[in-house]
Amino acid sequence: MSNVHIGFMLGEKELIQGCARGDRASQKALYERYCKKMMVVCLRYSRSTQEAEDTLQEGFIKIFKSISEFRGDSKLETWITRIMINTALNSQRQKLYLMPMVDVTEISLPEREEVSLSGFHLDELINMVQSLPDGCRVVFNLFAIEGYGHQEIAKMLQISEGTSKSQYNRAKTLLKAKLERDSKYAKYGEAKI
Amino acid sequence: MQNTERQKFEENWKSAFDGAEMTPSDNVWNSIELDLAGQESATMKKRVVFYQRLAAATVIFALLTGTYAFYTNYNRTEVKETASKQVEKKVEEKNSAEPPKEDVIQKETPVASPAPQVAIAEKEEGPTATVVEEAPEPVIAAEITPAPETGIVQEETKKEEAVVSPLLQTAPLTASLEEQKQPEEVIEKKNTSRERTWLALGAAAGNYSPNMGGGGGGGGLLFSSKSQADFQSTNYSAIPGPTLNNVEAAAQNSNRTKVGTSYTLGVGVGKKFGRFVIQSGVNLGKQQIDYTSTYDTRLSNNSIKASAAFYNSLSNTFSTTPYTINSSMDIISIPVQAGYMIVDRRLGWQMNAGFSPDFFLRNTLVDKSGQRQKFSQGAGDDSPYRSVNWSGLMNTELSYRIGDHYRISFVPGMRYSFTSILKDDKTSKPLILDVGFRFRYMFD
Repeated sequence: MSNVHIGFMLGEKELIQGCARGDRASQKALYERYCKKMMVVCLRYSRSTQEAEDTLQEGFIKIFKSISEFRGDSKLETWITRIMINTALNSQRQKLYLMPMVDVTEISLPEREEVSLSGFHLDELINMVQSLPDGCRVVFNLFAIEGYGHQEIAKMLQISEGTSKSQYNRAKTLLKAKLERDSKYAKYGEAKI
Repeated sequence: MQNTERQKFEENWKSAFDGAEMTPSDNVWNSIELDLAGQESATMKKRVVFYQRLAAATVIFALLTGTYAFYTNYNRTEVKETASKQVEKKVEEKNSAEPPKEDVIQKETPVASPAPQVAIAEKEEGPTATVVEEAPEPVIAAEITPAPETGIVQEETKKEEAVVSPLLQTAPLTASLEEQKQPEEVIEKKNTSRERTWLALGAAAGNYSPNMGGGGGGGGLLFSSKSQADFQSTNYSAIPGPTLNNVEAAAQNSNRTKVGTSYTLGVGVGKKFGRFVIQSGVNLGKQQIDYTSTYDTRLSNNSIKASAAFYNSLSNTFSTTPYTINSSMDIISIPVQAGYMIVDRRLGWQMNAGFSPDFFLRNTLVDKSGQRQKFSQGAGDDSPYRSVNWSGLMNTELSYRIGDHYRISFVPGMRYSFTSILKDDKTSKPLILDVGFRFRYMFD
């Protein structure tokens, strides 16, 4: 193990201990280390930047409250991300309760050339995800980005596995359509939204 | 093919977001910090309430015990005095009615028991009333308790006591108890009675509740109506930071529950009069608290200093975005206390109450982020602080003598300002609950 890595590990341990003691400088250091990555996580699950910042704030308060329970079984970043996702899901659950997810008819689009994401900025990709309907957005994030299976998602969101699959397919179809449209704009030199 | 495409689609999205970063606005951290500060204050407030209740319970318990002890001592003294007077009166009556006969003296003296003191001691192990019951016959009592050196007159007196009433019997028996105390107790009483004058060194630490009308802080009133108006009209922000809206309101709310720390170091002298004690001395006190300020001071050389709401009358003080400030107030106080020793043995217990003039020395404001320079305010006409404040003191002192000349004490107590520490605000009356330790040197 390199000295740099040992230093990093010690630094992280000290940060955790400092946060557990309620030391404000340690809390701020931990926040500054992870807030940018977590902001992207929150943005993916939210409809707007304001909503994402509210989730980020709530998530970090939960993290500082429960950091003394972190035993180091997983990486700190993984633990923080999980708390952030749970916080985002909790805020989305209310919406999903009001507008429950239902099975949607799967639209089979003709086979198209796969559109690469490399030409898109992060902001654009986030906007595309944010523009998805609430249910689709949550399922898309959990399945495609977080890597959960439909069975796990069904349990987490208290929906049927079929609903999870249909919501995901809908999300995928909508995203493909957006990617294709934006790629065409790019091809013809038109400004992207 | 389609399955591979699916996987590729998901992988593309996953890798697009993998390690991606976006900077949130500064408001997020400010809100988190305020939320955390509010939670800490709430926790501290719960602790303060607990200590307040504990202190109140201790004071009530001490007062009740003290009252009981005082009342018991008073009654015992009164009974003794009444008994002595009645006995004296009876003896006088008897003497005047029946003059002493020489033959009676000669006849009764030889009956004396060889060990009268032992007999008395055995009787005295039980309560005095039992002794009276066990000795219904005054003649028998006289037979077993003659003391050749005391003479027949005293023997006759004892007979009379038994006849007059059980109450009267307690007087001589109590006297015998006093005489027959264990040697250690006698030595201990002599030692404690010697502790008449002492010099003490002490230190204390505890919670400091500013009880400020607008939210608190050793720095004083943080938010005034003027300051809130300033936010709405001219929002001057000297240091870049979040915009003022609900953050400022949250700052006010979080300040209302702030609790700081108090440290005291001092020397004192004391004098004991029986069970009563008079104590005085000189203490150096420091009261610290963190809170959110929304003011700072701009100087002509472009430097910016930390400030608080009660400086807002100054021309160079402006409202700004909320920031965390540490306020540290230094005072010198001269406590004067009267006490009563409930237990005055090797282990001592006394209750003290008194007052203290507190002389304000300075208040220092430090911006914890380091963006502003520290600011110190002393006493004087231009200071928002009163130069002298008056506080009430109450504490319990549990002590233990560790040598002929030394005693250590554990002193939980409270201090409450009778007067406001700020000139313009009448509600700023801090409450301190602390625990102290004292080391006494007794001169005699």
